[in-house]
Amino acid sequence: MNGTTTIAEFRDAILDPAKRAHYRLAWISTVDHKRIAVLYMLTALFFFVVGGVEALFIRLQLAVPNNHFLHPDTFNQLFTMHGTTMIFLVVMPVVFGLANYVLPLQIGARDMAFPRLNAFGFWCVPFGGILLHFSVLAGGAPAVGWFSYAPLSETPYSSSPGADYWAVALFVLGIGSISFAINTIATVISLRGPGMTMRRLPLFTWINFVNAFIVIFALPVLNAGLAMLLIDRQLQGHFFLPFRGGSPVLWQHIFWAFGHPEVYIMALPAFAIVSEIIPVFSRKPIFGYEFVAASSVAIAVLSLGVWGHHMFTVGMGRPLDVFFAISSMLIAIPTGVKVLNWTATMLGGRIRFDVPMLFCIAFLIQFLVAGITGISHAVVPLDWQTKNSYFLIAHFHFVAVGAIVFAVLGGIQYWFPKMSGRMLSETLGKWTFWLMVAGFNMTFIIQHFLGLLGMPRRVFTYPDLPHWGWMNMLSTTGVFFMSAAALILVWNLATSFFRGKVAGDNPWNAWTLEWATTSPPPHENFIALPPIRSRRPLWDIANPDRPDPIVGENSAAVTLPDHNKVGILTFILSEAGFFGTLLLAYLYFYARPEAGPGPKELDVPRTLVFSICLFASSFTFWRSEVGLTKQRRGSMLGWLALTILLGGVFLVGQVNEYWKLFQTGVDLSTNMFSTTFFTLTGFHGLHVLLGLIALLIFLWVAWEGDFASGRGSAFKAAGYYWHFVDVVWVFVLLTVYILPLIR
Amino acid sequence: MHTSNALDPQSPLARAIYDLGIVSGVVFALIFIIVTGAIIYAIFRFRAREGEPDPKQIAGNRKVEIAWTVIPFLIVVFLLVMTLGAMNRADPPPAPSPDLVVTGHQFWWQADYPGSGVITANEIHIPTGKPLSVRLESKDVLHEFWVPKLTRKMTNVPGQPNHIWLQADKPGIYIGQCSEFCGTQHAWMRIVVVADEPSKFEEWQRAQLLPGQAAASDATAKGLALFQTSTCINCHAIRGVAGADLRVAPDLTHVASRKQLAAGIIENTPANMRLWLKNPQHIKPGALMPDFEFTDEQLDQLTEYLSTLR
Amino acid sequence: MTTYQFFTTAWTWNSIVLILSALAAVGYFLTFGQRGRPLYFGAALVVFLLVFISPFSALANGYLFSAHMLQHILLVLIVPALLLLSLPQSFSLRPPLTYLSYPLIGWVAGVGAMWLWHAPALCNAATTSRAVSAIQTTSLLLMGSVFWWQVLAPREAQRLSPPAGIVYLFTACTACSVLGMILTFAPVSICPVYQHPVDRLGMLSTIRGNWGLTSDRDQQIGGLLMWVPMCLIYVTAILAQLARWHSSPAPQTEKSNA
Repeated sequence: MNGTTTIAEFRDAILDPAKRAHYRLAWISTVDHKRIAVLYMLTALFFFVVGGVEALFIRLQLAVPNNHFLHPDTFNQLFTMHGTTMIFLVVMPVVFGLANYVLPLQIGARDMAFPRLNAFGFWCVPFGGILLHFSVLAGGAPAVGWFSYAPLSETPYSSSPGADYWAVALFVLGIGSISFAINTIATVISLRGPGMTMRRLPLFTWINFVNAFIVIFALPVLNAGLAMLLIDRQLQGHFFLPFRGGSPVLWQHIFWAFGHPEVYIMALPAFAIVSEIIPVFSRKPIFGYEFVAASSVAIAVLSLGVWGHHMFTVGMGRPLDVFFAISSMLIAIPTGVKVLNWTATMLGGRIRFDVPMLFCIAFLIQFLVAGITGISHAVVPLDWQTKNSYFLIAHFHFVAVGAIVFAVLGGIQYWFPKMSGRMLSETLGKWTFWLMVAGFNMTFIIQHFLGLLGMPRRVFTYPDLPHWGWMNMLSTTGVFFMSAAALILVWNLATSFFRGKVAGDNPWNAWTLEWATTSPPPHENFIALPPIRSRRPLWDIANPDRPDPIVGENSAAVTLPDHNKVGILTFILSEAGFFGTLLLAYLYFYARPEAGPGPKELDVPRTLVFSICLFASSFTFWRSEVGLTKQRRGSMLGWLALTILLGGVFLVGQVNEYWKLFQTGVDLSTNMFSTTFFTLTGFHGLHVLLGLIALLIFLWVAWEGDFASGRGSAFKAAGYYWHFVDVVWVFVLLTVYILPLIR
Repeated sequence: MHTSNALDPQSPLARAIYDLGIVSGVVFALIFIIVTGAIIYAIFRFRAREGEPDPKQIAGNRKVEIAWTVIPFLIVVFLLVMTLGAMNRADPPPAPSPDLVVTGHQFWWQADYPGSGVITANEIHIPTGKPLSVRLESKDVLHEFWVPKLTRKMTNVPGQPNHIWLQADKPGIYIGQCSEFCGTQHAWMRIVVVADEPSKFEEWQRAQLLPGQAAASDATAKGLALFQTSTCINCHAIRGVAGADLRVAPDLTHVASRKQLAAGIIENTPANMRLWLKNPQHIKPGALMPDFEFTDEQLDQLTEYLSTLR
Repeated sequence: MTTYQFFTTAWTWNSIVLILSALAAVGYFLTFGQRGRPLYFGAALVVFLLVFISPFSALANGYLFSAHMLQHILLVLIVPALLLLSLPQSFSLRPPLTYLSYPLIGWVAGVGAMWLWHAPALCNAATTSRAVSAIQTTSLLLMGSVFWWQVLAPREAQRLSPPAGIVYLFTACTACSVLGMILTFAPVSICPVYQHPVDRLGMLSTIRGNWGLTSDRDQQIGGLLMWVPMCLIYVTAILAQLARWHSSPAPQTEKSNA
């Protein structure tokens, strides 16, 4: 591997044409978390420009009433792509990129737990981005909005392949995000440096760690929904087609069960950045570390149960409206606690107004507005007026831009010196900041009032009603300020990278571990770690006379859990979310039976026989594992082969069942039962097949040579996966085959 | 000028929401002022000066934290209580049978009055002072009925009828539009609600029930013939015209009595009607009405016929 | 019967419950005397009595699924938690019962208490038969206690470590939320008894009319109770775990090092 170069060397090298080719390849094949992080952020920057230009066109079209600048379809494609791009290709990659760079440094690790998985996760982003944008060449970009409400997103109403590309691209991006989350969790649990106990984690790391769990639970739900949508569109299923027994409201439940946690997936990293920057520039520790840390957990857990507030106008019925109002209002409490803690950190400090801090202060005030208008959406009757209006647009842009983008810009200004070895220009940074503040507020404050005056979102033009014209014009004007800010930012990044002031190890006098190494850090991150006894190891070194109190017990001697085990268990959690969604969708339609084939078509006794084969394969795998531990090669190979055979028999049984159903004229498109049945069992079968392939690879490796050296934990990890696939089948068997017998 | 201003409620339903908005607005403003005040105070009071050492390191205060967890909790409880009350006032349970059924189509609205049998499109007439029980349906994708001055918004979901109440205190014209993205021409799926004194409403209703009768002339007769022989009747209904009873597209029985064409995109004048018939895809690209390529003469006849259907 | 009349008169002075509570109180003081934490025990007793004598009991008894669900939640989550908190530090399980202190058994008991008793047949039986109802109550209290033991056992050493406790609680919360979702969105009655109640107290018209609780809506509220407020109990417990984690002090030896 040619990965021992640092960014500084890279910078020198790209000035030398002879070395360029070599470095291009080195960056494409890299598995170093710092380089991957930079790739994440550059990709996000690229798509930020793309999404920004889309926004510019949207606002130009809306600048005056009755405008004919853009065709309505073009406009609809633009806002769909703008939303999708900004969320999945800008905010998520950039926050993942920052975490990818800083998190391993903050805990004193040499890299992420799974460097190659890390590279895979990153490459999902450009791949997904290309897929999404390829739709433009393949018959038109998706024009269904970033949440693709069914049935508009179904084939009868959107026949061009845009929605298909949208779904596949998001599926790919979802897989990338999940792999990053698995990596984050495994890194934090298994790779912490000596003395860095869980209780001493810097807040940036802690909040990103908590955030990874939201990703693990939320993204699989989206992926399950996308799978259903694609099955509808490509295989004539009808999950969400009302005239074939499907439910468009179910799509909304699934989408927002992902979509609301997604808001926090983007916002928590912003909180993480702010929780790092505000203390450093106030020269005080964060006020109430425990409360900021715990409120993140509260937000993470609650975020999974508040999605219904996106659906107050869809007619869920009074009980659901009330309960979702309660849970949505409650999530305001931990969020409020955070804002107050950040404010209290500033009080009594010695505040330095460098650019990172400026962004964080603007973040605080703008996030306050976003939070308040957010509560107004939990106050159900207010939502009944403002939902789907420009008030809502203003609200979530205050979250997405006013809070998240501002925090990220602060974070980039803060960590750029660590990444490049050079400071970003403070002057240009201040220009960016003030232009952003002016432009952002000019664009979005007025939109609250537009919404109250009755302007709905997603209209390509509007009649010349009183005040609508000048308000929209003002809003459009603001975009030019933001565009100027973005141009200056890009210019600043480019010029400072080559000519910026040399930063030194710790330009901000910060206290976390990433500042204890060189800027940029060497490939292995640290030559030696300083002693870690509190949450601010560098403060303790700089202030030996007044060190921070020691936090918790020193667990230097404790061995951390095996990262393979943590990784596979986390992966299994995400898979459980995926199958859980499919199972719930199955039950949803099972409880609403319709004419045509139903569970009575299934041959339960035969399925039981094949199920026993699958369950037996868990036992044989365990025997094989015992063989490996006891170094008995023959026993291990034999039991493993038997496992594969049993899994294969199960698959044959399933194929046989499908075949019989096809013979009687039942296929996926017949009715809701067949749609849900084939989807659920089909995805399980696919997982069995993937498991079999994995086991075959192990068999081959074991057959070829020595298996004892260090691969034991990988073999165990595959075992966890295999057992999990069996456990899923227990649930499928009970739900699909046994439940109808009981009732 | 008619507006769709949510801050100018014109019915007890919309007023319930508005009042709640004012109460919560005050709460929100107080929160904003207090927290922003603290931030601004910190900015001016705790600005770092050259050479100052780092301040006292305060890691937190449990009592303060508990206080600012409990206070937001109490605020939330207060808002919740207010919310529950306003929900009941703004959206009471539905009546057993609806007074009005509003069905969303790509990209227009159909209004049925089950009591009288009137069917019209895009322009909904209601009597003042009387709450109407409205059922919302959709024939294709999701739409959303939103007339901010009169009542809450609610999605028209295909296969799941929803319910709202609709009421206006005073006679007047109240506008709104579809607020759930529904496809290419989502922007031009506007709603006009005309509230009249009950007696005037009854009059309107009686007039609507009459069969469609154009002014008697040679041109209108030819227009009617064209309407019947072209494919118009495959989608449009005109009561009293043989064969024209499908309602895939707006009912045209009294189309000339309506103020606007094509769900609000143009005023309903004979000249505009002619433009619309000539090239609907030019005026409203993506609307489901195709270009028929009528000759100028045919256009004149059809326009003459349709624009006298009062 | 009007709402006011109902809430003033529908108190059921169930003699068995009163006698059992009195016996439990006597037993508690005889066994633990001054060592226990009688405040918690008193609270547990009050909640327990409220579950059975308050008008909610009358509602749960054949009228409202949601009232039944409220009882269920109080009996699985609140009463056992208070009981465990009332135990003295010296309390520990004796040999055959120590099996109950395995985390997996605790988890299965806690989640099983929710799922098992909402199988339509069992749910129906518990509402119609007094014997089954007694078994249900006992099992809920027992299973709830076994569940909470992992988190609220009298001695720190008997409890799960805070991070493990968080995982334990979160997964249990998820498992119960899934059931809550199923109940909320099920178009068919999970507990058919509540669909057409026998109107023993003449309350049905008030419930259906004045309160606006149709049987569909009733079941939805029941499901939502299991989904949202119950999850909030788990979330509170998770936050308590975090508080416990962060408040465990640094060992003395290290302080001297510093």
